[in-house]
Amino acid sequence: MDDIRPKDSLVYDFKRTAVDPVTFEVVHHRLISISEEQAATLSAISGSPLVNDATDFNTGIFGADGAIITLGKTVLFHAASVAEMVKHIIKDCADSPGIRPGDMFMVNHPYKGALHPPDFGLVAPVFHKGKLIAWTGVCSHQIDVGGVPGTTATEVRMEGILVPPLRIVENEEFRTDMLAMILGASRAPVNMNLDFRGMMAANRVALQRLGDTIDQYGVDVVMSVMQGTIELSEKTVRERLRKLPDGVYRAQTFLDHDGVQNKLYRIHVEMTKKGDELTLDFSKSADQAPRFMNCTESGLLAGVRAGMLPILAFDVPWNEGVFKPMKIITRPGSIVSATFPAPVGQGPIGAMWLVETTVTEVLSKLVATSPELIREAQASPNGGPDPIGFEGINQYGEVLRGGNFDMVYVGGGAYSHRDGLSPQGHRHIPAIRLQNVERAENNQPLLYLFRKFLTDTAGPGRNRGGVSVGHGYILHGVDKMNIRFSCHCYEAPSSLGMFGGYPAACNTRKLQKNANVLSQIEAGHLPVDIKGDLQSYPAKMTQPDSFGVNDVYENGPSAGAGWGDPLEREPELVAKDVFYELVSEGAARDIYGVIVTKDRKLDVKATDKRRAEIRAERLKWIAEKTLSGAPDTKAQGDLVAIVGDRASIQRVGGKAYFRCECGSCFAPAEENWKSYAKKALAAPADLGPRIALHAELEAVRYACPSCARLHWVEIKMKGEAPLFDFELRT
Amino acid sequence: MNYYIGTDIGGTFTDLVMLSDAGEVTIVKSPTTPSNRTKGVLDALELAASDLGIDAKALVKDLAYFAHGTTAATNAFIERKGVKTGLLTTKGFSDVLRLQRCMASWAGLLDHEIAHYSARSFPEPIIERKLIAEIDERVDYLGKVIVPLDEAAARASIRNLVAEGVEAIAVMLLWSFRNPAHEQRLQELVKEEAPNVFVTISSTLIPILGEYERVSTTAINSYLGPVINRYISGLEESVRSLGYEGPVSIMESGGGVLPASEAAFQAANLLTSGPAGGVLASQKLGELLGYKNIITADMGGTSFDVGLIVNGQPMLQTVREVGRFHVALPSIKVTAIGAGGGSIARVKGGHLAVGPESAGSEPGPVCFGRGGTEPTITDADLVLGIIDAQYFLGGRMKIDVELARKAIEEKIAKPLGMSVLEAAAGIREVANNQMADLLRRVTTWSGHDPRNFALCAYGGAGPTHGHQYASIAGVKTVIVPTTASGHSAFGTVTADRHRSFSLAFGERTPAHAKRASDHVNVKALNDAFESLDAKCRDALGKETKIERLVGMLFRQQVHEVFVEVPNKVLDANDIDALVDRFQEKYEALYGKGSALRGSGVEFTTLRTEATTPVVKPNPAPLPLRTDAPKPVGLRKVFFYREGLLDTAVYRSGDLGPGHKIAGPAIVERPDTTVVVGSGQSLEIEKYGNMIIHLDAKEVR
Repeated sequence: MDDIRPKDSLVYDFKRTAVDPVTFEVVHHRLISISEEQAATLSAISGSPLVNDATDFNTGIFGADGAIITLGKTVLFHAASVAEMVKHIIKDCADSPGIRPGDMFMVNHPYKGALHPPDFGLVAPVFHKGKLIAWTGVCSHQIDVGGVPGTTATEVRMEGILVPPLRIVENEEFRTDMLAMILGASRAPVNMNLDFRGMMAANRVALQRLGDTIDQYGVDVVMSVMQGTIELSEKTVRERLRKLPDGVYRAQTFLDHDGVQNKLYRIHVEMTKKGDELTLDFSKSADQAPRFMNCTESGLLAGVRAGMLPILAFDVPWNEGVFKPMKIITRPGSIVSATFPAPVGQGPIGAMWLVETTVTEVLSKLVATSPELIREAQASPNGGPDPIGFEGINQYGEVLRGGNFDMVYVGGGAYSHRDGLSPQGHRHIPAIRLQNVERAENNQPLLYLFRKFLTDTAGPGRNRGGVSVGHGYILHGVDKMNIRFSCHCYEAPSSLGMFGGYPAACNTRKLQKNANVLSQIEAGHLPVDIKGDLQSYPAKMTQPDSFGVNDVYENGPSAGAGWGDPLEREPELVAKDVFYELVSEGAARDIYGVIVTKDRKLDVKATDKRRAEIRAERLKWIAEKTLSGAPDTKAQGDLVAIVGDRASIQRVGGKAYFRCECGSCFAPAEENWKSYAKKALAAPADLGPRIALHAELEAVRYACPSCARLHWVEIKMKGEAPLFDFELRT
Repeated sequence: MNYYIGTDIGGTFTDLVMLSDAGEVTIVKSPTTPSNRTKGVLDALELAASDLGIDAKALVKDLAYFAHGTTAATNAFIERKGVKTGLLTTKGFSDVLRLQRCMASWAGLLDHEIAHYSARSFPEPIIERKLIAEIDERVDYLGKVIVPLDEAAARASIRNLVAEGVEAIAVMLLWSFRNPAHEQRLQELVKEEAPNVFVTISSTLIPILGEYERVSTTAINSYLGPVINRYISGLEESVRSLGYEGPVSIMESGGGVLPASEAAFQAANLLTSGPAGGVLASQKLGELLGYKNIITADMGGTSFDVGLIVNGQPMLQTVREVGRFHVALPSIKVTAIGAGGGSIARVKGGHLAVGPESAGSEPGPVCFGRGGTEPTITDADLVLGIIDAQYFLGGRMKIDVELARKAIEEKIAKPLGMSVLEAAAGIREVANNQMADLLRRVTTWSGHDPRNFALCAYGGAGPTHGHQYASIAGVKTVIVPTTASGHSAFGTVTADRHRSFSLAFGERTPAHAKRASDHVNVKALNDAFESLDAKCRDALGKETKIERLVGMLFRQQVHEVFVEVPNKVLDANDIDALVDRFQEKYEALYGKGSALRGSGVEFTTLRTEATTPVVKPNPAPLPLRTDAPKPVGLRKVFFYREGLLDTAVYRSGDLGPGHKIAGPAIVERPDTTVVVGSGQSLEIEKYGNMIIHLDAKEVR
């Protein structure tokens, strides 16, 4: 991630001018509308559901050095891709073959800016009077770029064709020979060709309209506005950061299974916040994996930016400015900064996903120290998808390949002020549209049994996570096909709660073979309840399994994690969730301490009793240390910072303490408060029926020694010290 | 003398447009009466009568036609004031309505609202979860019954819903458009169990592929049906009680009017019919004046609504978002942004932003003196001298220029270090550019070039800004209709009777098919169109004009394009010609070379659009004026980048056909203020509409 800049001789030397506020707004709006028109142009020509419904693409305008000037609100990961591609184009192509007006460059090389090989970028330099003033580019996910099935690739060279920055457009036309070579590597060349044409047209629109805008307002004004918008966003984010307490904040999570072994890979971030700057250090993350779940440095940047945008930049224009206060430290050769030729094909839903999750967590911890910003703090939004791959022949006798988007129907993380959204969809896709069941059945040989909210997917909490949607199906219209799964969050919960909120479910699969599907249908009903012996699969499969007419499958995705102690959730809300089967009676009783009657209405008395029991039980837990000479619970304290909405750092009698809302100052602020909390290990079942724990992991609950409020549920490696989440400078 | 009346209830005013056999056009406005909207309509009728020197009863004697557009459906839906509704749906799929294809947390939100994750929430549901009953049955994609309907259980579910007190029931089963038997049987069971419950089944209302859009549309229709029924019956009774015996028509959103008796059954079709009325009025005006390509631009108090008329036909959409849900009935496409007279200007981070927040009509702009403190576009227009404080709404409403000036000074000019006039002109400039960006978006995104369009500017603030936003977008001609402030009402009286029927078809060709006709069952296609034609004739009579359309897409692609189908028995060659026509149209819309023919083609949906003209007079030409137009005065008006210009001010009453005015000039009408910029000119055409010729700068 070196700062690569084009040579000064190539770049237009514009004169920074003071732009009046009216012209500024008009030109800024115009720049944004140019990016939007770029997106509309791509969507129109591409016609692909990946572009149109899943918004897995991005468009934008970039400075001469790749600084983001406008950024479409599509898949947030792409906040890094095109900008990084520009830097690699400058590095690799400025001298040879050169960068000229009328050129466009194509890139999909994950070590040259792309997130993984399917993401193809097409980027055009913008010239004014023969000098470079900006770039405009498009990146979109391709259906097929060649290569072997994901889990079998041992290096990036097996994951499809690799296009380094390549000057594929000259004099505004594709080099047809190069184009043919790239299309020739794809199993869906026609679709790919169409997307490429869309990308080219999108860039042409942007070039034309940027030129017109410059003709109208002058190059100095337009470029001054470009600079100005970046400064404006940077200023807002820096002001926001300055108000937050300095300190070190940490978050970590674990990716299970590397495609070969069921091994754990740590993704760890230590964030130092000082003044108006953030430094995110990922050095303690695990070494890179042998298979496709790694991400490159571009992927790391993508994950960081996706985590950051909705938390710190929810109300400012998205451009380079929002990222300027943020520095990243990483260790080449780690799972979040893999070195060539490590495979990275599943990076966006592997390491990159968990980078987003940990960055979301660490930034949420930061903003949860401020009453003004705590609303933006969010518990984990779903631990990672479990895509299914189909291989075979469809009901029309055509080749069937690919999967579906059912795994996107997931709940979002809980907030301090509300439950997670049910469903939110993937957090880094601000606006997604998923397929109807009828459309899926029309295209694939499946009969869906249900599309419904599943029980006990959401992470419990005072505010619970968003509930995920499960799908069940049987084969229909063909005799067999092959299926393939590959996910993490299978035995390592990676949708993690905040401030006593519980993790959400792990990915679960219910696949029953020989379930007598046909005879059940014969008898007049569909096999909706999947009981009996289930197939067992590893998190990631290297070989496909067969799926036949008597087999039935239900996916159970991870969901949004919870916020706050579940014992503090309104009992009526829990009873309502039980009534609608979003929470099981068992989880209500054991996690929420809520008892329902036979007709699933709240039993107030029994609930009070049950909650008292659980609190009494917690007070029997053992604390590692006890603070001697703690101030009285009623002692007046000066607030240093809130820590979530039920605890704070307070100064009492000249010393800073971690203080529960009940008044108890139970830990000194300079130490990890978890060492002073009552703590207990939790078995997977204690966390919910859909939680699995890898043999090397443990779940620990930490409660206030005085009032028994649950302050955190942590997933960590056995034998390691608790994570020191909040190391505030007091 | 016969009279033809169109009425439209807006948020603030109820408009009435009256045509006479002699071609006279009368517009009156009466305050909307939210507690009993019919009263506002009757008040307007009384006003129109008094314009003729008679009373409403006397007017009704000569009334030949009464049409009505209403926001009743839209308001009832947005405020969730429909009836308690139950839903019967296929077992396993009761969450579909709530999931909204994962759009639930963002449908209907603006971009900046979508980006603010922590503030996102779900729409208020249409149907409570406990009133959704799962029915044991299943049909597959070919329409084959996989699990038969469990009638006994269904009957029990219906009884439960009735016991819960539902007034309406919606029925949506998977694949019912391929095999409607189960839905139809459920309808019968509801009728048996509860004859008074209003029921809509998806296979009748909207037999297309896509269970979410079907359940959403069907649920909304049931939810609103009884409300619309009560409202329309009440209105009809009131008009009838005055002695009216002629037809009563209700505006729908798809491009015409419905007989009042049909309205309740098409309640979902009434949603957003107001903007559709304005587009239809522009279409009729275009026919009269000879414009085939028109951008319609309605700028009211809170929003700026843009539609397109291409080659004489309004642009339609198959799905639209209303009240954060989706309605899949074909409708006239109108795109809106939050830019209206009441849009608020603010300084954000040292720069000037306008909208999308609006001061609405309460408290309204600062100059209204009703407690508004945030400067708005109308305040800017007033401070600049564009609007005359003494002649706002023809002098009927007092507004205070000093309040406006102070607000702009405090909130905008001082923080930005500008003069008050510069700040006010800046507000206009920013807003006009945003509107121009929308015009560009609506045209270019649908494959058109704004330079090939005339723009019809209406709504209270439209003619005040049209000369500039149209010019920035590259448009060369602006039409300010005589009915600018009652354009939707004008649309209701000029619109034809219209019905649209759709049917999912789903025949497809394999990848790389040579001839589509080898794979598409032409008999099935002919049969399906015949059944659709029959529905049209049932609804609108034997003589109705039927247009046939087929929606097609390239497999693996998402863009559905509708292609006209000849009105005859189709043969194999016709099928192949349809595919060619589809490809042609697809490429015209989405760009040359964008057709993915190799992946195969799917004939998704068949549709018929039936229209039966309503007899009504055209406006009569007004006498030609040979005198020179006389201004009522000259005033200093501040224009952005031009400064204070001596500007001639005219009153519309003094002007007539043949008059030409050079800009800068202002024409004050009792309902709006028309601005002509420097280098532009305005002429009055023979029916009294104003045509502004813009010295349009080349499009950007």
